[in-house]
Amino acid sequence: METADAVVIGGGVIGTSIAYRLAEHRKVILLERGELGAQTSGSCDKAIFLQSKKPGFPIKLAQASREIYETLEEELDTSIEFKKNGGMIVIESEAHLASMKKFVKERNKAGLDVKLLDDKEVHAWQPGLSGDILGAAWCAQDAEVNPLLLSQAFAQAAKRRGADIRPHTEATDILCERGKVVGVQTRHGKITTGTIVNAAGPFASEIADMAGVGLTIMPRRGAVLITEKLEPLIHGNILCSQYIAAKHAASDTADAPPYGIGLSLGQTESGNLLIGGSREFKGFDKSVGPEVLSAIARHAVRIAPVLKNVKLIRSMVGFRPFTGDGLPIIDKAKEVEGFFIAAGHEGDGIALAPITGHLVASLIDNKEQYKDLLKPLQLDRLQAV
Amino acid sequence: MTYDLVVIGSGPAGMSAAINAASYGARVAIVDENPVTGGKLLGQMHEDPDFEWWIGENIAREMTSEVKKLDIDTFLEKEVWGIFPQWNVMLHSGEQLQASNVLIATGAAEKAMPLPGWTKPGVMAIGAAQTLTNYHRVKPGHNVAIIGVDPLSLSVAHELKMADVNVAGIFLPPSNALTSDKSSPMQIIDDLSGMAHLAPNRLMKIAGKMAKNPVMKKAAAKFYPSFGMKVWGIPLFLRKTVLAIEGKEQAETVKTAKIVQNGQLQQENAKSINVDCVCISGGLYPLAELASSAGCAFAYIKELGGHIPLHSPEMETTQEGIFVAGNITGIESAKVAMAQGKLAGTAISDRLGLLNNPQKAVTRARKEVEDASEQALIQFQPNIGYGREKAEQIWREKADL
Amino acid sequence: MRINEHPVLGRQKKNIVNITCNGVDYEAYEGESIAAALLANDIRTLGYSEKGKEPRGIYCGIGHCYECRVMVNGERNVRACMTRVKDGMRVESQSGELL
Repeated sequence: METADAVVIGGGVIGTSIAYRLAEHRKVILLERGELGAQTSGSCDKAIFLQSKKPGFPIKLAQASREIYETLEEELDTSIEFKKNGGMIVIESEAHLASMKKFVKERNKAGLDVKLLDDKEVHAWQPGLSGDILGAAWCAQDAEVNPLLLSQAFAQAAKRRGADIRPHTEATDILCERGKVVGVQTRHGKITTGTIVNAAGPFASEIADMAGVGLTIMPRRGAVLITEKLEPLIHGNILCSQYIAAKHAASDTADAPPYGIGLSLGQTESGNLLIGGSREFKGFDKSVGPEVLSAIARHAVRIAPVLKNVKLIRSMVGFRPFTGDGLPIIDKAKEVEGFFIAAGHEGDGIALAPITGHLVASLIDNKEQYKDLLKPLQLDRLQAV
Repeated sequence: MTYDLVVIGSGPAGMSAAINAASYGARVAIVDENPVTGGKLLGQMHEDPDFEWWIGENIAREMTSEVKKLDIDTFLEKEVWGIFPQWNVMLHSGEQLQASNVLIATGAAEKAMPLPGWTKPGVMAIGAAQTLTNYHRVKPGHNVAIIGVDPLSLSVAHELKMADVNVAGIFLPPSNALTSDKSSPMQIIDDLSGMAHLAPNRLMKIAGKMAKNPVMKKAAAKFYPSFGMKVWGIPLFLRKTVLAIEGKEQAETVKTAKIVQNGQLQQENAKSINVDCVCISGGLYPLAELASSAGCAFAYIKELGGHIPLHSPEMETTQEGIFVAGNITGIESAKVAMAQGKLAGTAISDRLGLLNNPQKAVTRARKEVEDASEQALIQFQPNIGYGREKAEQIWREKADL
Repeated sequence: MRINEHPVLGRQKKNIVNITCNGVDYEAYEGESIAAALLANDIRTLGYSEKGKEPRGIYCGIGHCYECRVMVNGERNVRACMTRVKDGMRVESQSGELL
């Protein structure tokens, strides 16, 4: 019978990052139902934003992850198109201007290099933006990466460490005996293991259910538009202050765009623009209507009129794993020994993938190193609410 | 704008469906991203057994004038970016065409067959060379190498020759994960069996017939001479492959090597041949993205060319009101596509209550599809009949559930 | 590169229009695609890839592969294989260097 020291379920940026770290000292098998990085990690933007996180623990966690990115290409021995080209959050309305001033101050206190640019500075740096933009918060530490390359790079590096990466292999059951994980059933046979990591993103509840572990992670649907290839039009990555409002605030102003839309805009190395995005709770229904796609485009053109005559070549729809408080769950299950959860990164999976691998490895090995980062990510913080 | 039927794709299937439905009184629109109607008909030609030339462009012209006569709204140079329930066909320029019935007749595209140098200018898909030669009447090159041995590549080789283009040879593709089928002598015999009765060479004719018998097929694979043979005076190399296309700014040479008995390459004797154009024939696959994004259920059927939208005997997909016809349902000839289009047009007219004797009309149209398929001169996919049966069976199983 | 006489399809009669490609004047036949017109004038390289700056020409000929993107009258990313020439049309290569 086949055995492994650890089985990781889920082959997105999170699962592959974990498999890579675990494979350093273990025999690891990674199970992926479809293709690597083809779900949430293949339908997101590419930004690694620090300033968009909340001050306090979330920024601290993102900084720890961002640090790893500095040397990740060297470590994984391949290009992941990592670029330190900064990010800005543009401010459209007077109402947001006041709160964004506070936003910048808070980030500075948290140790981030964020500046408030006035309208002239914004337009000098991003000539494509609307004349109505009042200013922007600019953070030089914000960066970007190609998420498609990221999953592949982690998977390849994990393979080099001996990990067995299995796409098109669905986990169908988790086998437990006397409160302990003993194996996993797949469509292609059984694997005996004492350690399972649930890195199934928006599908993590389904996997937890197989082990009899209670876990609520909801799919939050997001659509992103992709344009034709263009000459460099956008410098670094852009969010709008509406995005911050949509991300952090429960209540919105009346003039907020529908479908939870907030702009995220960036340009890939190939020249395509990625224009996000919507945020909706629609279960796992992937059929996004033309009204949502048009609304995303309208909102983007309002902020960046330069996009008006740009051709869209496709759109992508993904499900962000939503936990409720904007932070992932990285913890061991109380109910079943040997069952670990690393899911619920929502829109921060790209930013947090590198640190998540370390956190899970540390958790499984019961090491001291990351205890301070793991504590706020425990599952019971949500159950207590 | 509201219609009874919106047809996407103005090739043989789409135009035939549009003409048929409009002649029964349906209000029809056709959308195509090309500047002219006709689709792949425009580059096609072949000689019938009675030595009459069948010229696709002429057929397209006749159908186009019929479309005009029937007042079918034709939207050219328009791309469909989505089909939304129930049903709204969205065009890239902003128009929305509403219709209770949509026919997706988007045809096929060519499979990629990557090999070193294949992105260089001068390298093109075999279908592109065909349209350039027969429709635009521009030579794709003076000296052409063709990679891939199948009915389409042999037909185009002949057409190039007629247009006074020198074809330096027809070669096997290099063997790799994507092309392994296309570089196996056994598969080649299968592929060529589809045009055995049209085969210009006795050897091919025999080989084509042998394809039906597994033992004979093995013998034939061995029997193919390593030096190749000539068809229409064009060297056909069944034991030579192209390793790479070389050249600075554009394709200048193809590097060829011999394949020895066990499929191994004789690298040391690689030989370069001067060319200015290389045509790659990787086979066709149904162009079905729109049907997929409209939510139609699919099945992968190798014999039909790839992933195809499942459809009823009347060409309706699993999405009510969305029909398919032509190469999107499997790779066959233009005549089959036309018959399928007519069948879909008839079924849709029936749905609209426009037929006096629907049973008879639909049955007759179905018969015409079967006849066209049986009488096809060229079979682009080996075992197409088996593929159709498989698709029908999956449909029936789904319907039973 | 023109096929003026064809044994089956006969002779082609077309009106001539004038276009420019990268500033050079060329004759084209009315109604033909930009790709066909340029090939008839022995031009195979239509542009350069964004990432590797490698030369690119017509590949699929049916608008599917987007390898033949050119700039037409200032509009970027127009497919040369799908777009008809018009008298006075200005075609330019999208070279990698522009990016």
